[in-house]
Amino acid sequence: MKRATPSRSRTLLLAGSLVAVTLLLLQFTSPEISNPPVTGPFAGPDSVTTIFQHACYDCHSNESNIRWYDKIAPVSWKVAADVAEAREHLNFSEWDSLSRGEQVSKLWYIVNMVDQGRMPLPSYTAVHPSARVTDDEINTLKRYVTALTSPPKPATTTPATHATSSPAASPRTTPTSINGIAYFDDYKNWKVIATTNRFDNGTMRLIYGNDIAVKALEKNTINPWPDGAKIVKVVWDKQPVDSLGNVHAGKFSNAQFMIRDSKKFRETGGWGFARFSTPQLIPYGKAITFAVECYECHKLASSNGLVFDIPTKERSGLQYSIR
Amino acid sequence: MTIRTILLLVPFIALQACGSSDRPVLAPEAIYAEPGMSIITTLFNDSAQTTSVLYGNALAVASAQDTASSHRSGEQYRLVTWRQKGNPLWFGGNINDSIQAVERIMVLDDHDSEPAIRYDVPVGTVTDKPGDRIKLIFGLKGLEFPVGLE
Ligand code: HEC
Ligand code: HEC
Repeated sequence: MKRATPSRSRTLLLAGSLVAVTLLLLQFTSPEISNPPVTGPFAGPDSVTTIFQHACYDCHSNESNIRWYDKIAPVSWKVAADVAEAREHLNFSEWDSLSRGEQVSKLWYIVNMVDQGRMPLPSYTAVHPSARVTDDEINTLKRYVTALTSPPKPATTTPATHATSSPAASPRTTPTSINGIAYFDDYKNWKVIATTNRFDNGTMRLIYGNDIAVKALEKNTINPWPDGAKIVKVVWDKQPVDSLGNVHAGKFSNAQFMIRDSKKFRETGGWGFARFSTPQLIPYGKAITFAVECYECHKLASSNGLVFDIPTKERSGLQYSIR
Repeated sequence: MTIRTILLLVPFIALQACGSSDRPVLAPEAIYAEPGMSIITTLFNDSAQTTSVLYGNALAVASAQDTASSHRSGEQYRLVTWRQKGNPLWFGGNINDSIQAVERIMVLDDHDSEPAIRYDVPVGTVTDKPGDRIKLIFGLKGLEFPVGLE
């Protein structure tokens, strides 16, 4: 090892002091994070609220407790940006501004974000280990949302085998989503790639894939999916469980499309999203940005190219359901 | 000291880019496909941990949309039953796993008041009595599908 010559160490010293001075000056640009009043706070059981408080409130509430080391520029810039963005997406201090239905679906989303380690932000827990959510806490959250969503017991359990088979009045013009995706019936001739049911919102579904989508599954080319792949999910309400324990599909609820075009839909991960509700197939979304909401949540399936429902070998071991 | 501070910041910023991504093992063999068969309906059973789809040929599909309970020769049904598991990517949903059984019904002759029926189980096993299974399958009605304009 060579020793640094006097002139070399002088240069280092100079560079060092320059950086120090720059950092010092940066502090004057450090943003202040204010805590606006708490208007309608989340009010769940203590066991749940405590988890959110220690793991989420620094970013997702008006009770941010910013540590001294988070107030140093340039870290403070990132912290302030995170908090501003986080509050915009989800604010536990303004929880009451959501309808009851929105609260419940948000809670399911929250549980899944935490379950997959997406929240709290990993960059944050790396520096603030106390914000980590333990497995026990995740189970507490899961039990909480499951109990919240328990369906009322059906009054009778007559075998309910019949769905209304004749479709109600269909639309008079081809329903078209604001992003240009028009409803089509073609999927009725496609293969079903998965069948799912949800105990978070009382529905059951069939997921269809066109030939390009099915081939991509067979060849395992789903990261990303090829252009031209199309996936349609058709959603029905569930009927009450019958005497044999079977649950049959009831009324048609909606159809949801994912159309792969990596250029046209670049902003939403290369998928064009659309949803058509009721037999009148009313397109969902008032502004073109509606699809960002679809895309954001579908990031939870980024290991599958943003598609949740595909046949996989991995067994979760546990089948979750509520009776 | 200052340079070290900056170096310490690097992993903090870099961490931002990583997420956990465990690639799934695909199971395309769980997709059921038989030419000429269309969807009639779907059902699931939490106690049995199964989910099923009833397919049929054109005659069977028509019969399942019909309110009359008579059956015509040539009707073919396939009840495909998968094991059910929690959706690996979404707590709150269940999804089909591998195929557990395929049951097959063929209506051979409809001249008598009781049509002649062949029932068999080409894939897997079913413990319930064939008569009960036929009754269940014939009791299933077609799904309500939306109809768009072409
Ligand atoms: C370091 C700040 C930070 C912490 C701590 C944090 N989040 Fe977030 N969260 C964000 C940011 C930033 C976003 C928006 C961008 C994104 O999704 O990455 C966000 C987005 C979300 C979203 C998406 C909301 C929507 O509707 O789009 C959910 C849900 C969420 N966070 C839940 C949580 C939960 C639950 C916790 C605690 C267990 C938590 N977050 C902790 C910063 C944070
Ligand atoms: C809060 C999370 C969330 C949001 C928001 C969301 N989805 Fe999904 N989506 C899911 C989950 C979970 C599944 C898989 C489970 C199921 O429903 O079968 C799914 C499944 C789908 C599927 C079937 C293919 C697949 O990925 O499994 C389509 C198509 C789809 N969603 C379209 C949409 C559209 C269009 C929107 C926006 C209008 C949307 N989704 C918004 C969570 C979400």
